[in-house]
Amino acid sequence: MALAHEVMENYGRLKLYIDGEFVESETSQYIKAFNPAKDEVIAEVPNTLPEEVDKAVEAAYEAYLKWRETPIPTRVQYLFRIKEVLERHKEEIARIIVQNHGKTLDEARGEMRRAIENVETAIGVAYLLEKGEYLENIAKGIDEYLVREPLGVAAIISPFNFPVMVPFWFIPYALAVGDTVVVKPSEITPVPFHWVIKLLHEEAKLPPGLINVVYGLGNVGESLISHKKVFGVAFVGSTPVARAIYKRVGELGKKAILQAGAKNFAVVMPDANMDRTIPNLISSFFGNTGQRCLANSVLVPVGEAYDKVVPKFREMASQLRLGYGLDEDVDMGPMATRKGLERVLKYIDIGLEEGAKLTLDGRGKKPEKYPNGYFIGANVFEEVTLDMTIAREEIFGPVVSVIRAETLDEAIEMINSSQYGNASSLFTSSGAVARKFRREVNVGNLGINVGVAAPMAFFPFGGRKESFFGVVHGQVDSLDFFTDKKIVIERWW
Amino acid sequence: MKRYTLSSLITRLASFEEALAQKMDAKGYVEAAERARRYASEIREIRDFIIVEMTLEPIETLDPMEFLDDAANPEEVDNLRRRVYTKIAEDVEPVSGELADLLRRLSS
Repeated sequence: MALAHEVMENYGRLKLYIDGEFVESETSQYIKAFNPAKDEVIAEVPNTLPEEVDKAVEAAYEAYLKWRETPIPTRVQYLFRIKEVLERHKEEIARIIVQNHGKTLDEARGEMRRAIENVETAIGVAYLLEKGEYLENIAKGIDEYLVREPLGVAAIISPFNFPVMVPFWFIPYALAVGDTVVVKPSEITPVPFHWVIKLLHEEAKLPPGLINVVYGLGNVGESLISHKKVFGVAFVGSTPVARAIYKRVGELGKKAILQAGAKNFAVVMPDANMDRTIPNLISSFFGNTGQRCLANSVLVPVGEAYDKVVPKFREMASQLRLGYGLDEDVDMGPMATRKGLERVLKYIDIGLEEGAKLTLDGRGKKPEKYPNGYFIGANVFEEVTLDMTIAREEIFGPVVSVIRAETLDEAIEMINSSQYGNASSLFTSSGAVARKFRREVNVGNLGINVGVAAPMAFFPFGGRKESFFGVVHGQVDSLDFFTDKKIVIERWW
Repeated sequence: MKRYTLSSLITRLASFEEALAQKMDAKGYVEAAERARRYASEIREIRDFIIVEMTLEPIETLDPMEFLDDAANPEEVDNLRRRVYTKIAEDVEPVSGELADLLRRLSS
């Protein structure tokens, strides 16, 4: 099938977006952003200077003072404008996601749908939640009520794997309740969000300062988090960084939503519908080239399910078509970075050294047309034991570890022994088995006959143990992050 | 049988309807051509209503383009849709119930 066209070949040096204007950074340090299918530079982003971060936060704060006074119906109208812009340009933004990240068009379109869904949800809940609560006559002549108040400027630090969706897990809710934001997109995949901001700037005409954008490395994140006018940080990324941020915001007395790493298990019972289960597993393990926190990475066939599922799964995985995601026939794109590819190769070496059997080897597989891309085929390890590194650590790539379990209890124990608690899937035809699994598995997102347990925007995005730090979660739950509740007890003589 | 991603199947089906529209236009069946164009648009719109992220598995089903020659007039187009879309709907059902429903409606 023909390639969908690239919106631009090169996006040049991206500018900061502060107070409604694109501003060239004065930094001398620029970071290259690549098209991973071609190993070509498609943009450069500045490692924003601390004084520029300060300007962005100050602009956001000034905007907040006006925005919080803006009536909710007006705020909602701006959210509708954002939705319209995203709807109008979703296909073009999806193509840029593919170009910068490497995922397939299907995956990028899904990401856009999810981003838009969060805007819709924020619109839906804005009025209902902002109404507050009221109880008359708690004592004679005394009433008590609760109002939600916005808090000011939030920092949003987003990961490379969902460059548009994750910022939109937070932005619409912040704006709906009267807050403003400074976003630091990943320096690896900054282009799609830059394009979204460009479109919003041109077409949505939001009041200046509502959304500000800075780019860069960890030092920029640190400047942002520690700024005295930032009340909290919403972050999605790796566990070590999330833990470090959690410690830092604790010291600073700020709020945080920190969604972190994962090691997800898919359990297949012997009674599962294998014709439906196996393709779904393929999508779960290899979608986004395994680079998503909801991807399963350990396959646990229970008892005789092993022979029913593993050979066919291996065969289907071997047939995945690698290529540039702008070709709709492609099943799996490249890794997003060369470093990520090297990390995956290193884990495969470790798996072999520790005695696992690599029954499907995707190393060295590349589409002919893209010899320089960061490609790797699907990999399946069998004879894996739970103590092996590949069974415990997050690989974030298309590598599956198969561990046989004799019973459901054993499978549940495996999952619960993991340091992570992001997601898990069960494939079965038994309601009783599914119920037991649901009750006993200690993870935040659960799929029953669903390989990617991705909560819709109107549910929180779960996560437990080292997959999440904080109290409230992303998506609709973040309304509690972006507001605080004021309780008023009132009497009139 | 051909292997598709959901996106490539949607694109293929929409192209098929557009090819039918061209054929019907060329033979002067204006109404049938308009209907095929509308169907192409409805098929593309399905992307707005599906939860793609959970449903990325490969789909093996017919290539409708292989049957294009079987339809020379509106009646044959209807028969072709019934035949081909019934099978494709069955194959796509586990991945996208929305697309399966639409195909069944377009072929009924």
